[in-house]
Amino acid sequence: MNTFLQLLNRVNSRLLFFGLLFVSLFLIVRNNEAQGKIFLNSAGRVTGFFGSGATAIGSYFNLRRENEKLQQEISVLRGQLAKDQYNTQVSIDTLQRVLDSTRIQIYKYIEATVVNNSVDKPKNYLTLNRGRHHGVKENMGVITADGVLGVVRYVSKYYCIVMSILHTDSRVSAQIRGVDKGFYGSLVWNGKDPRFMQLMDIPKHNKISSKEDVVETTGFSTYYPPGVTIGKVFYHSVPPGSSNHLIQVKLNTNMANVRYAQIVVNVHADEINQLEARAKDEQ
Amino acid sequence: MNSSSTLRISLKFIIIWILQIIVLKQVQFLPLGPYSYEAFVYPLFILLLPFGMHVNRLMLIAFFSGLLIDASYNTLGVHTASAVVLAFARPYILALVLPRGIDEAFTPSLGRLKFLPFLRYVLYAFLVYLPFYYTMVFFSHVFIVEIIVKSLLSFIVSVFFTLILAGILNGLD
Repeated sequence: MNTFLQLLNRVNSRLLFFGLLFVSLFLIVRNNEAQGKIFLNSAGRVTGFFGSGATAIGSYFNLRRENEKLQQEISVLRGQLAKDQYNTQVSIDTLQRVLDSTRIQIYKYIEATVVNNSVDKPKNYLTLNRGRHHGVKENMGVITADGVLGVVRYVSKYYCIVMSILHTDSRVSAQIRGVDKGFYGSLVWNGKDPRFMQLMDIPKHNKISSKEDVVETTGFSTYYPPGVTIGKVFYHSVPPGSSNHLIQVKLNTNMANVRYAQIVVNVHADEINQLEARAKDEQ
Repeated sequence: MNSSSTLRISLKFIIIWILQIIVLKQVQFLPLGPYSYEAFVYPLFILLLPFGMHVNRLMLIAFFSGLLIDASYNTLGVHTASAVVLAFARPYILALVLPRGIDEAFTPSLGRLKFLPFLRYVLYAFLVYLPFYYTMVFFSHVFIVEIIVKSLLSFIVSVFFTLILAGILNGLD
């Protein structure tokens, strides 16, 4: 008994106080109906608060996976757009009645994540986390949700290197969007500002308005599908002695922090290229 | 703590318990409007434990005596928690009311402390005990008015009966 009392005196008083208080409170909520109900109600609120907080934090950490899932879904959905399919019907149905059996796919998309990027050199390249394993081949175009990114140049098993449109040798066939517009030229980069590209070869008699006209892809290559938005006309001028507009195009995509991209697979690319090669041979 | 003081403490507890459970528990005080209240003298038991007693032993004794009171009131834990709080607060209260130079081996009592210091001792003790007790009874801030009013009403009758009981127990020392 004496040793117990000596031991008791050595225990931290505050600790013992809170221990005894805790036991008493436990007895109260366990054995008294009213207090027990109040406790359960408050406890439910507290755990509910922390529970919803934990869910919010958990979903934040899941955002990355969710993003990837969305990217995959976008790829599937893009492939279902009518403009990405080749109409095998000989005469076009004026009622636009789409019959699935008459349409075959031209463009498919492979979603990819940018793993390396640069915009500060005159010749910029990006690395994407998709390669031969996923069906990526050289000379495939790469687009983003709001613009174009470049063309695949090198492919390894799981990665590919994309020649960015911010490359002084890059050429994108582009046009001004609009029913009465449609004049096209090639979009190049002068190697200076990564936010702007230059649209060349548009004759000066064409009417262009700055900040309004949208620049999009023409589809005159096997790289990009037609009608992919690239940017907007920022300003335009006709240099003295030139017969063409010099158009500054503000890119929609922020090339410096692009994270997700889609590689365009033109199913007909081989067929088109072989055909064009034969025509070239005859020249 | 020798066996005779243990015996005296036990005897005090039995007398206090009898007054609390057999008498005061049966008494229905005139309610003030909707507020009924009770008188508690049993905290006096904790107040009358010897001065020099370590606060840990004080809290342990308070815990078990509180359990005994709770068993009679069928409010398991409510008095226990309040008694533990009072025992924890007792050294602080004593530091406020104790005259300088008092022998720590003594047991506090009405005769030894003189009336006024003892009254202050009891007042401070109930000031700690009753608000906490009624907080444990209502267990929610929703009843803050009930807690305050009942604590005040109970304060008056509790102090009154406690002083009478302290006068009776004075003869035991």
